[in-house]
Amino acid sequence: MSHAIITSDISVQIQGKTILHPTSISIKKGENVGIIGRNGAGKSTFMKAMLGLIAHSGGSNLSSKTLSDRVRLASWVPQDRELVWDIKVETLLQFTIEKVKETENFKAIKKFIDTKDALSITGTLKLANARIKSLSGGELTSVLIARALVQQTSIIFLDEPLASLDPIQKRTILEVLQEMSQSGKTIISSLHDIELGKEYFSKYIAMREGSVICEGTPLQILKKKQFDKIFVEKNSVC
Amino acid sequence: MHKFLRQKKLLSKKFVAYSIVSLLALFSFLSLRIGYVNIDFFSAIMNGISGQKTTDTIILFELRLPRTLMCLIVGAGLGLAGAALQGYLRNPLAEPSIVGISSSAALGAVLCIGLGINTISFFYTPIFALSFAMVACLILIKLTQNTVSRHSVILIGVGISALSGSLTTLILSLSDNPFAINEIVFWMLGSVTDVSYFHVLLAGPMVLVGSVFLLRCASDLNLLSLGEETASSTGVNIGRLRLNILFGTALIVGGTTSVTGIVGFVGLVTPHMVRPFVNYEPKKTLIWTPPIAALLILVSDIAIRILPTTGEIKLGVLTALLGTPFFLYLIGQQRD
Repeated sequence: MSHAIITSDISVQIQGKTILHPTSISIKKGENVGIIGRNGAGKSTFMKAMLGLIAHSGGSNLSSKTLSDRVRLASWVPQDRELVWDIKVETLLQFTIEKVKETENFKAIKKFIDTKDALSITGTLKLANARIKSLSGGELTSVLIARALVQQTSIIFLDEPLASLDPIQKRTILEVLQEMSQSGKTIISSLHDIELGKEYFSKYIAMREGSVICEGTPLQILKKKQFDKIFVEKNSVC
Repeated sequence: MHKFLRQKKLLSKKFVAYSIVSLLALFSFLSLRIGYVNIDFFSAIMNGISGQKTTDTIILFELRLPRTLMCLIVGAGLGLAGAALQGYLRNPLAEPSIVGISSSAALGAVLCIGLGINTISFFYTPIFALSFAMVACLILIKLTQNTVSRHSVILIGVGISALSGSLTTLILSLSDNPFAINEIVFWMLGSVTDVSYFHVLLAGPMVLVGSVFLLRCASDLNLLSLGEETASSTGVNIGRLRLNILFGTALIVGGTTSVTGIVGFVGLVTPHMVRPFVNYEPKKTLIWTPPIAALLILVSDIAIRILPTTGEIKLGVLTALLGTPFFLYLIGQQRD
């Protein structure tokens, strides 16, 4: 199976401080990957660097590409879900469609997903005409995932999509992510709900203090010994 | 109300566009007719066309026409700059005068005049205003790059405004100018009284070029409604967007402020008036704001001439009087 993402010594320094130490990993196509670790471990930074959203050294097969090529390959679901303008859900998705239609290789897409398709995949079709400020946290997250879907990319990054959702909403989002990965998309998502996520993700990548310290299936990672190494012990290596 | 009108098909795009254009034409006409002196309007036009110079033609063509044109330029320009800043900063409280760009531009103009550089060439005044507006804009963009809260954007503006306001006052007080107080009032509270075609030709092209920069941001502002990172992941070139905002805003604010002084709040209020009618979409807000803002300034300037006051109220005073309560209302609406 070929790889969706390969990073080679990707690292991030901000104001002389190393936020992400040189990291080389690879993620297979169609995998549903959870990036776990404590707050400040560098999960978001790692994802943003892979996607080329922030300045970094080294690189990934994505970040080395031009902006318009990256747009065709990977989309982003932000953690910051503060929306200032009270636009309609469908309009929000339409903005992205209008923009990516400008990119050169857009016409080459075989299976095109429009706003209605994307909203029904994430179970939010009935919200198409709702205003985004009227949505609940879970609904908004689903809508933002639908927005990533209309970008027609094979890879989707999500920055803590489960943050501040209730258990039912979390489950709904996890199901959506799992379905998307089963349909061939590569999902990379940071999360804290490692217990809840273990049935849904195919792989966990664990981070601590700006480094990836181990990778494996959720069950491997959640064994007490491993768990302690990631979350409790200092300076341990898995 | 607008929902009802839309249902009744009274708010089709064409109808709205025609209405705005007709209103602009109507109020431009009124702006030419209304003044402190009653003139024989139609014979003045006829005389003007046939090249005769009477008192009436001078009042109409050399006082009222440039003033009317300036109202349209200032209104459209500042409205556009306000809508662009609100879209770029994702902040409904942003506006050139509130974030300190206008006062910085005024400082540039005053510095140029204070140092006597404007006597070398008139063009230096707008160039100074433009440069200072650009510096303020640059500071704002730099400080807001790592997403700060909405209120801190306004506080940055308060800082820049306070600094440039006091420097402006200082320069005018130190200058050997018997009319220093008048000058301070002029720069702090803008006015379109006594503008000439020269001023129109100075500010007009700058506003026009600045508008091109800002209108090029229209689609990107739509995508920016999800934040810079998401916009960037959909193909928005954030660096280029910033440059467009920087040059566009500085050109418009520098150009208008160097001629009329600070006219505040029109860039704040107008986008909020437009938004409910365009489904809150940033691009459409940007496009529809300039004509409405031009209308607003035109009406305000007519009101100034009609109001029975002893001296003429400054345009900046009226816009601030109308805008400040709205600004306070908006602050109350924010949940930060």
